[in-house]
Amino acid sequence: MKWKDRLNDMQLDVLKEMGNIGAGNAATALSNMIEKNVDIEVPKVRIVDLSELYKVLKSPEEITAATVVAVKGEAPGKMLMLFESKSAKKLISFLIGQEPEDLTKLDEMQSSVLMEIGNIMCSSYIIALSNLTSLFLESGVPTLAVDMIGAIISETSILAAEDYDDVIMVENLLKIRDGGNVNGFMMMFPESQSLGKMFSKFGIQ
Amino acid sequence: MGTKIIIGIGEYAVVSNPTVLVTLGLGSCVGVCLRDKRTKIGGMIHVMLPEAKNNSGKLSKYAIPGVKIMVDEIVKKGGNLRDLEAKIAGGASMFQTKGFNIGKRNVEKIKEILVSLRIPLLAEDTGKNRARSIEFHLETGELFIKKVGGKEKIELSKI
Repeated sequence: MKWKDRLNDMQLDVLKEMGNIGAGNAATALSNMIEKNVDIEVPKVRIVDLSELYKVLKSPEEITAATVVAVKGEAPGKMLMLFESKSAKKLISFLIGQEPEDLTKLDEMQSSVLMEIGNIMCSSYIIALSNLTSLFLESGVPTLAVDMIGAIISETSILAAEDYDDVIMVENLLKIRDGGNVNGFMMMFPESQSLGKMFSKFGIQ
Repeated sequence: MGTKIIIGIGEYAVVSNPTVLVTLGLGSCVGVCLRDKRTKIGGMIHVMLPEAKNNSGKLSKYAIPGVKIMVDEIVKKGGNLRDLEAKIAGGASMFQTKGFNIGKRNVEKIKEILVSLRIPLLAEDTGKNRARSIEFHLETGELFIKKVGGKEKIELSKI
């Protein structure tokens, strides 16, 4: 089964708007935590064939810190908060004063700071979605992984794709102003049964 | 060195020498590499899940029947089942989840299939929590594995 043949423009616009509102909420949460301005860019909705995932990324081997949060409740899915190596280190320094040297060898304090940032942002996104759709949604226990970005994204896609051969990604770029080029990347992967429920809340099928 | 072919998630390719087969970002997925040691015909499959629930959709996503489909194609292209040798990599658990471990189940299922087809498993690099990118050289049968190591460098190893 493929999504590509099943979603129309109206439905894609709804997904985009959900990304906008979710990421807006997450950006506010981040901004409060680090006391800096955070900008978000217009979200993108992509439907990608699992077999072509590696083509979507410019540098699939870039080392990235990822917090994965499961969306639970009436419309399950997965959320990812990604920071590439340099951004992740800067972000840690905003909160505890010092930049870690090696992202693959974070101590307990550093890794829990990074995971908590991701957790708060994903949870804010999920709360916003829940309010918007009036569906009951809650966030699962977060996990942190530091690895190649290609593997992180494909691994999460696979978890959300189930019987489908392609995956829907709602992605947002976040930029921290006056933070020395700190960029984050949020992605939402709705599961197949969740989409129908979300769309029907907006009166479209 | 021949041409390089990139295999996407849930896909496979059967080729003859000289070719290098590549797959990127194996997490819980497993790359199964097969090679006929005489004719040097071989293939690689990027397996996502242990077993297909029904026979629809993309079957090469699953160890059953994906690996068998690839073996049949190798034989059809002139390889010999008795001369096939296997190397596998992947099956990591990147996000520490309790209980449910897809990577481990993928690796176990693939080993069962290889035993049932009497294909010897020459080497493996499986499990742990790091993702892998792999390159399989049909000329030599060498399998190169890239992983994130210490100091944020990509480590290269060979099996």
